Amino acid sequence: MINQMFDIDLINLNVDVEDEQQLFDFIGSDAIEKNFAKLGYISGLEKRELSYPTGLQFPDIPIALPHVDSKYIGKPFIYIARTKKVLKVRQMGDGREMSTNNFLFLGIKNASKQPELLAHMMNAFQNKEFVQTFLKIDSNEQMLNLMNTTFEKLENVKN
Amino acid sequence: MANNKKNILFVCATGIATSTVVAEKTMDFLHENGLDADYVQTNVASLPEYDKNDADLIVATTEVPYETGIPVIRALPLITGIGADKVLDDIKKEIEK
Repeated sequence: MINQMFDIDLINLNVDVEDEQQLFDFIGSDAIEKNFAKLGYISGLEKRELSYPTGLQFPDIPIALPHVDSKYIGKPFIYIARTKKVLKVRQMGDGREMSTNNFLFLGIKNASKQPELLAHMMNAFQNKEFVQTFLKIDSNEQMLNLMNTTFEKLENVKN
Repeated sequence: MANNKKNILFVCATGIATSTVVAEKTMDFLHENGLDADYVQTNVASLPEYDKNDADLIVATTEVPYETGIPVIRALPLITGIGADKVLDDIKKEIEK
């Protein structure tokens, strides 16, 4: 089930960090502690982002999708993090500098199923209405609810 | 119509995340336009193993820092939606060649 990727314990909308490295340390440690990610996840994120950055500029929102090789993933997850400060990141594809405070850490383990959710999410972030709601939400419960209702709907449409 | 289907190589950093999104969008688009292709997904680090006998087109969300002799289309717009139609059109042209 698609919705099992989201977890109330993997949402943090007030991350107080200065840069991407601190963010990776913070979110990475949390994901490891909660048994979603394995040891090596944090350095994996750092290395990966250096060679292949994951920033994406959508029409109405910039986001970054830090992710690593599936060997560092314990249970599949998507960790939603919003930083208090806007952080510098680099754009996927051309490495151009951009900035964002919206991060979706993708813990992809099953190469055949989870990318489908990613495709749904990328469609959602192209949708102005969804983005406006996403940006307005400031509680973890509301965020979980938005994700569950949005992607449940998408899955139903697909079926 | 040629019998031989073109081969597309979908490339991203891990070979399973954004390349899947791009592969789905591309294949849906091709099918809607009455076209077809064979495809594989791979990670960018394995690209040196490929040459133009293996694929007719690379569609990549990362930089492609290797010279494989295979034409490369940058697919980031298929993820963000900004400029997606142009990318799909470019892919279509390559497949129809």
